[in-house]
Amino acid sequence: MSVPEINFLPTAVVREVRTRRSRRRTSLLGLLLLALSLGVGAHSWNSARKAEAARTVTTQLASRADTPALQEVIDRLASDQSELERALRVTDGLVPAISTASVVATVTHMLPEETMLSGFRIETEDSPRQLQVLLKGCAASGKALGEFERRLAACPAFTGVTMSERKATESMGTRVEAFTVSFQVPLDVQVRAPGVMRMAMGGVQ
Amino acid sequence: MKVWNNILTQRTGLVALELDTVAGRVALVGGRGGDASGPSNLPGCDLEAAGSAACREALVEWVRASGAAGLRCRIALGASFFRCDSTTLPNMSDEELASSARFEAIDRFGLDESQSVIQHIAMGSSAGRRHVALLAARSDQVRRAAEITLEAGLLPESIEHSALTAARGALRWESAMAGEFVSALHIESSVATLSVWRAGSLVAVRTMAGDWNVSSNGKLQAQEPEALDAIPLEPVAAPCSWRWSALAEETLRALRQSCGESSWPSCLAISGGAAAEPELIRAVGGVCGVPTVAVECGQWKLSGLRCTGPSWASLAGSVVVDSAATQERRAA
Repeated sequence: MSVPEINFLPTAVVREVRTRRSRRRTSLLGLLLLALSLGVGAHSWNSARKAEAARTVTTQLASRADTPALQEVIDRLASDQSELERALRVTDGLVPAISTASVVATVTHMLPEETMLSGFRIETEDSPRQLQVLLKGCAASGKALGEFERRLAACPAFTGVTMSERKATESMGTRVEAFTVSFQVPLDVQVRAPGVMRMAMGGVQ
Repeated sequence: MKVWNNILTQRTGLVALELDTVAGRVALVGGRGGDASGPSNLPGCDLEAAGSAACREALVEWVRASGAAGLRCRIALGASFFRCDSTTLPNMSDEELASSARFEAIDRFGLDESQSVIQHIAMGSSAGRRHVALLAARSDQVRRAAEITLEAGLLPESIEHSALTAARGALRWESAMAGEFVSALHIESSVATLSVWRAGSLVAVRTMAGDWNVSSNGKLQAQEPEALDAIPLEPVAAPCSWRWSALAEETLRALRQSCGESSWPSCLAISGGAAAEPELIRAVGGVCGVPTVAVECGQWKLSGLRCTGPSWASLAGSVVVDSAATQERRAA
């Protein structure tokens, strides 16, 4: 049940109302398009500025002849590093970590009474890096020789102590025990005091 | 910014406007208006260039305060701006009926066709003839009403007869009007319009001229009826209860003429400012012998419309069309 709508609004007014609505919607749409265009334009302008800045930096880097390229710098540094490593290897070969004097002092400090050395040879080996020591001498008795061997074996800086030769002989009319002992000294030992050595890693005397 | 917002939400917001010679009313229906968007009374408007300035300014101020610019507006014009009569025409097609009704209105009302807006309502047929209600208004007044709303920033959607919009609201929402055969009486300051409805279709309409302005001091004043088809009533200087007796007796005569002796309406709904008078309800109901109720538009289920009382019935009834369309859209 609905009463019909009897509309007295003139046709001209209806057209005018439609025109106003259309005009307002068009204006609203225009504003929205304007806002959208401004947004897109601002974004494009920012992007263009960033691209222009990147291009400018690239151009400047490429155009500077006196500026070494990055790869050249890297190559030069690598060359310097390899040369330094080679020099360090040569230095290690020429100047060992311990001196042979320290080894001689330590060995002579271990000599018991009535024991003397007649030969002392030290050689440097590259692999493994160590000193190869060969001792020759004689002792008045087997007891003194045994004591000398025990002292050498007890020293942590000396490894591979081996009595390679031991025989009774006569020297200047006296009976003695001639011997030959060999052992190795790693190059990383440290000298604490004259005649005393210790291992760098082991920490024991 | 509010105008753009209203353009985007114009399907939800609507302004209802009633213009009459004594007083006007305006209200915002739906939408998201604030406290300032409540219903408001407007000065009277005779829809002449000189006599509508106050109403126009008040409407402009209300629109600005309520933020209703850009909204659609449904206008209900008082019955005093219309010429109304009923006639019978032979059975014919709808196009021929429209032309014949237009010619009959021009002839009967003595109007200049170029200066009039003429409408008609087909009211059923009997004995091979069709009953037609003829409605006419001066085109300059109708255009002036539209201009007032346009100048206020509103977009006029329709201009209707206030009695028809009040009857529409009453038929739609008043439970007492749920019967098959009912009638409605819309009372304005100088014209009362009686309409009889059968199954939602108009079967009779009658206008009665007089001084029905309730804002007067109870004394009737002599007034010349403007409408030639209106029945002049003798003004009687009498208390209110006697004042409404003339209207009640004329209403009874109009009902007898419209309904005959065989059928009688089950309800008479009275709207307009005078409907708030208890003497009027008692007088009309007692004389016509029909249950009489005053329309209460405050109980109508219109979203956001905050007005009560029978005086706002025509304004509220003008937006019932949009309310029904909204409900149909929701149902769909």
